[in-house]
Amino acid sequence: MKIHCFRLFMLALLPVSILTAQAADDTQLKHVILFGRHGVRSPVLPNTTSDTFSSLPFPTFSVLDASQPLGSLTVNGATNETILGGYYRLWLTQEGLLTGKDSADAAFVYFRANGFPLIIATAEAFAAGMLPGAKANVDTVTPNDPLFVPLNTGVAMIDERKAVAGVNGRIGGNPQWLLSAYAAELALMRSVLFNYPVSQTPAPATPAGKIDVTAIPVDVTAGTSTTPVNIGGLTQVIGAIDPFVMEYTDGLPAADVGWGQLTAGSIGQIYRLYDLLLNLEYRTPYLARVQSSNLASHIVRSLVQAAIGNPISGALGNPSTKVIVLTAANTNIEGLAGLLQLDWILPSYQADVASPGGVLMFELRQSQSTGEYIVRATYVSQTMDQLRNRTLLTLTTPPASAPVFIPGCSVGNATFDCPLADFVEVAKHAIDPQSADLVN
Amino acid sequence: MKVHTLRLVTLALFPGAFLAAQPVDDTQLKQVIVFGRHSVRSSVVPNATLNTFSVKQYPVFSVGTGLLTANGAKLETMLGSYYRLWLTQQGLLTGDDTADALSVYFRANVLERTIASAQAFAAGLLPAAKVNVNYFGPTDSDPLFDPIGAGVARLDLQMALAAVTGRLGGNGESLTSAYASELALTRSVLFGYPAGETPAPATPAALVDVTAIPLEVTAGTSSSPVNLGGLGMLAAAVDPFVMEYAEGMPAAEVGWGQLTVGGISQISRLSNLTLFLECRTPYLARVEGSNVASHVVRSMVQAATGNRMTGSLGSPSTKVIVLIASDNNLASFSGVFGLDWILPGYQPNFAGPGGTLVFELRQSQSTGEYIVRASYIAQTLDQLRNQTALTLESPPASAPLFIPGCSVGNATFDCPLADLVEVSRHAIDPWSANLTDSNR
Repeated sequence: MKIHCFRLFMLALLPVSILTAQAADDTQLKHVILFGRHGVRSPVLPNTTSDTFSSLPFPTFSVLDASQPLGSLTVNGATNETILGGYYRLWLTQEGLLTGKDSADAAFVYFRANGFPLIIATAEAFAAGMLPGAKANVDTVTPNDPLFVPLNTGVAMIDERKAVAGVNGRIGGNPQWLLSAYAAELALMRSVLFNYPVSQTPAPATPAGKIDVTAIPVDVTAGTSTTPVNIGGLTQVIGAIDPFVMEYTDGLPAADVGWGQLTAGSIGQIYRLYDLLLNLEYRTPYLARVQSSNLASHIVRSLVQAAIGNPISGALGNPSTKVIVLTAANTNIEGLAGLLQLDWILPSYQADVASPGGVLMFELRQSQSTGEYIVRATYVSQTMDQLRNRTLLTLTTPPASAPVFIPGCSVGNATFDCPLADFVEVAKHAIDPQSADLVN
Repeated sequence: MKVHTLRLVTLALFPGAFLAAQPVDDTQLKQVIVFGRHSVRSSVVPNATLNTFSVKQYPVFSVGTGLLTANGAKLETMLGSYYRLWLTQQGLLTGDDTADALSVYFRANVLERTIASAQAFAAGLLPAAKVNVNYFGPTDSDPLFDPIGAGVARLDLQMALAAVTGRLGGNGESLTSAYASELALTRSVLFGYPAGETPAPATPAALVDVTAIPLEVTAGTSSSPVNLGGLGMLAAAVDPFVMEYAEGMPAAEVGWGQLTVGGISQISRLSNLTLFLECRTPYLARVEGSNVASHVVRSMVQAATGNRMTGSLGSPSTKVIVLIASDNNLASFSGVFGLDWILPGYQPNFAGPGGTLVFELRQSQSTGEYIVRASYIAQTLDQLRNQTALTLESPPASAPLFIPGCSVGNATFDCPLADLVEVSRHAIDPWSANLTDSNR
């Protein structure tokens, strides 16, 4: 601890000019963790429900597994995941982590997916792009995976009242105030759902037999173990707008994207309401700590395991694992990002959006001159249009990427290098030991 | 440290029902720290500059550039009067102003608007007394409010730039498109055409389109270490709208008659974004907010122990501490502790004119334990505009704040003082705080 402080002190004394003179990047990629959201899926709510929110019926999606119509990976979603996996194949081969011999490489890759068909199918589609010549084994833990739903497994413990207080104490105890701050988004959303120009005044009444989700009172109550705090009202809002991003990125005809009323930009604006819900339910510090400490712990321990080359408890894969692919939901990505205070923004998206297939990536790199291990974090995702057009990704036409500064760890260089030892210190403070286990 | 950990474990084991049984509030207010923004002022950028951004002239305030307006002073006195009522009810003030003046400590940043705000607040809080407002000379840097300029906080400029860039995906362009709706609304107001007109008209001859200046992250000054290029100009262009409304200017002069209070709020997201990046970025909040945070916490410990303590404000018998500075100070301070709020009519975390972060030090009459309660209290935009008299029955708007890592799950988000000290030990950068009592 004293050494750590001293190091920071020394850093503070370095003149700016020295810091500016960046050495050439002599680091080599030793290990990578790709923590991704599932790909484009059909809506979670049945159309019979969401159609009560809108004048016109919601479109239907073509899904991979017709026996699972709800919340299911679409055919195009699978294609997009394989395209993304194909991009990682190219990049990881360039970086020397993959060799081109898929069967041999498969032994050094660990896939873990949260145990839903949507997530597993995403991981399999990604694997088909990354290691097309191998049969990848996607690990799942059923019925509940402690990495992704630690509360369901008893690994994490929650004080429900504190969870509700943690959210209420960010919004003045009054969610209605928050909603009025988002009046522009609600007005836009209502105009799309009820099919009138957003500028129309007065706004028309709610059509007979329809529910105006923008007018449902919002309250903060105790929820379930997967969503410990329930933000009633806002949940229905999200149910109604969730399909729009999927309609666009699945490549549905423009007339079926918000019934022809929405562009990529206005989808992003409406989606601020979804971002808000995720921010409150998963990025609220107490909730991030409870829900994401176990995942963070396993990520950090896996990086340490790869660096030292010896098995350690609470890590994933084994010391020779080179690539770890974790696939879950936007809730998981927001939670981990909240815990480590990571922010990003990519073209065509709002800030901190975990997009379909989007990946929070942690690279473990080693300096070839000093031997030091550093971590680099990046958020990587296909843009809205790359998804919609199923754009082939290559090293020259890559997905969008945002290098991410890790607070308390990254140094001030161009690649935001975070020394592994410092990352461990940051994690020690950020992680709630009562909400993490040491199971491999 | 061990005792602290044990306490947390015990808490985690309490069943929810036990926590639900809240005892009656038996706490008594022992000390209060009010950390406020100055009230309504004229624009900080001269109209001669602003007028190059707009087709119509910006309205002229009755005072010079960046000064507190007469109405601003009146509003601040009304706010002080409200605190007089509340603190008398709470037993911290007695009604004998001359005697009470001995147990208050006022400190204002060096600007005219902050000093005049503090004096106006004092005139409401203790109308019959001559209250001494402490402040540094006009060319000095107050170590509480400009700790970098004062040499108390040390900034690694490369780190600061990296920390901001590393939240933006390496460039500001994505942010510009994410805020397209706010930029479009701003442009329509500045250039005097209906929002939503397509195609948007060209920039009038000889005017600067502040919505089109690229957002670049570059080194700034000690009081604003990171410069956001076009976003800074944009924030300057939209800043007057809130002030025009709060000042009570005729509707035709508030955004030239084109803005509702909702539109002002929506546009204020651009000002919020500037502060979010420049002051709430974790590294910057730590450097800029640690010294004032340290002094606030130490002053509460001093009041609780009754013994003089280094690095605190006032004396052990000080009951009311009033600190008046600017929104950037409130933003970095709240960033240090991860505090979020919202009040009706405002955007989340917006510090309106005269808005105050309040820390109450309270003592349980049964156990003797000291706890801290935080809140954000401010006049609403309409209370400001209408110069609404504030009483205990018609108070300013107020948002109780959950202090992450400290507040417990009760209705008042009580944060044990001992735990706040622990939280601040980690949150505060010891290299950016001093132990000077600063009793100017």
